[in-house]
Amino acid sequence: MSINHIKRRYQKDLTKLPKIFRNRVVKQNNMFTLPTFENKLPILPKEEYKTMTQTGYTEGDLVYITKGEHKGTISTIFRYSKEYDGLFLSDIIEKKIIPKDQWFDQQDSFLVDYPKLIPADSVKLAAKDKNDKGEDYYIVAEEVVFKGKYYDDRYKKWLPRRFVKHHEHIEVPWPNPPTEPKAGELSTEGETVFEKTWEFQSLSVPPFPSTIVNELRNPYSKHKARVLTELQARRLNKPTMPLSKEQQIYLAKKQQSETEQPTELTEEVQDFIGERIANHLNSITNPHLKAHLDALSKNTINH
Amino acid sequence: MRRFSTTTIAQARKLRFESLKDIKLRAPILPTHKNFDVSPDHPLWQFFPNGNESLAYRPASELDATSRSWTMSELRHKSFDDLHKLWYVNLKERNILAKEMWLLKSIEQVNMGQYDELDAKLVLNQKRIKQVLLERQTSYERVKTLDTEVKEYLEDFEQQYLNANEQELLEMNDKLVRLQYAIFGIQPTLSDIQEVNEDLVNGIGYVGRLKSQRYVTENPDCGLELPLKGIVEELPFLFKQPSEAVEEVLALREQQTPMLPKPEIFEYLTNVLEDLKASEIEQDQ
Repeated sequence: MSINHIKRRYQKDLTKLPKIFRNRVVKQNNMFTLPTFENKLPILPKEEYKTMTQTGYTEGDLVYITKGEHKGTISTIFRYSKEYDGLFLSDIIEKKIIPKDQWFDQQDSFLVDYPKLIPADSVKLAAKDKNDKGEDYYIVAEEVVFKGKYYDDRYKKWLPRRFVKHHEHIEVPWPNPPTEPKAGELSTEGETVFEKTWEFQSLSVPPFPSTIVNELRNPYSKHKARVLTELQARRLNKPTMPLSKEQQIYLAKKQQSETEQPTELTEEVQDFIGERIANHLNSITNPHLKAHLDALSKNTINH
Repeated sequence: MRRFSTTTIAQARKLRFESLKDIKLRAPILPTHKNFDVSPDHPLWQFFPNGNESLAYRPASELDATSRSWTMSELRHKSFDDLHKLWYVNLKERNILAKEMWLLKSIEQVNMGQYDELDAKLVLNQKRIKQVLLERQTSYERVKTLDTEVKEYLEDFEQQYLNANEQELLEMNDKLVRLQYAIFGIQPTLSDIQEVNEDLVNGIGYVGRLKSQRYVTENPDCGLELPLKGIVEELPFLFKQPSEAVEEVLALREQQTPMLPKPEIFEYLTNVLEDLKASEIEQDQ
């Protein structure tokens, strides 16, 4: 376990606190900072950090401010802060006080221009274009939709194309990245990365030696469906109780009666039923009913 | 509590120096690193970025801040050997970083953000490598359950192979070589087969049945009675021409070779494969 993991256990993590306590802790933290440097936006938990494809804008894009003091201005994004879900814009600055012991070189005033953090929900994506006469005009997108993907060589990654929602003929291209992505000391060359060295070719050749499977999956995981041993199964299931003689006889009879299910009438039964019906008909004395039954017996039913 | 007895203490001889002038004192040894001779090949140098030429730790500005983690789609293209190597490259770099961070902690350096960030990228790499391997294992396990689909496909192929005319047969034979590997894991060159398993036995049975049936329908006078009896008769069809294989099978039947019992099949196949490999090596020499 690295020092990173150990260290994180003892760090105060604001995001693990319930929201109502977070503000109190932020207030406590801000107690000793200078009033102009305190954070007014809440810190987001790591799971809520947004990427450029989730926010719909990135550094270098134009945005239109919809709320607050600077409402109605259009400015370019200088930096997006994922921790606060806020934006630093290039033209929107405020004065901050810096104590003399923290002054940098050639500073001659307590007041310094500092970019202002603007919450992401008070900003809409804007774009600049030229009309037929060659005059500049701006458009502001209420919402952005993504369609399709292309490989952007400037960013060295696949990016979705973005369009203005409900006006999907208007594409807003991604801006140039502020700095070109450079290869670092630990980077691998592009050609080596894209070289394909594996393909699923055979159903009976395992992808790697079978001894590694237990290193990838926890064989003792409590979520894993395991087979119970006979002893465990016996402990979990109630035993079958011994039956008395009467019960055994009853159950045997019941089973026998269930198994004998005649499907067709035997001749004996047919004779028996015929006899009963004949006796009943012969016992009828009412002449009207007899006449009626005679008429009925002559009638053949044609379907 | 254990103590010395009073008698042993009384009997103990006191340490005495007869003449202090005779004792020669050497200069005191100062505790510096120059007194230790460390080999430049010492394995613990692996915990340093540039081996024995590196400093105790790199300043944060010298760390690689620009490179990013490997993505899942990039790792999915890589073979197990590549991923295995990459895992250890990551591990080594993480060990170097961990060593530097413990050192910085001991000298009470508070700001270790850049070291943390780089370590997080490497951890992400390792997690993704594990995930990619698990994906492959799950797909392999799922494919193993597709028995009916594989059986249907093999039956279809059998019909196509038996009904193919002579022009199509060449193409079908190529297809059969690919099918052998795709379904039964039989390599095109027999000496490449590493392991004898149930799939291999099933594959030899399938190929033997297919080729013998085709040959007998084309040459009804060859005198071979089907079906083939066991692995000993099926094996020649895998690596020989059908006509040669039929002759071998007829010779075996003349000698009245008994059918192999099931437990001996694996042993028989391993012996045959070893003989094949040995003969290939002899031919090369």
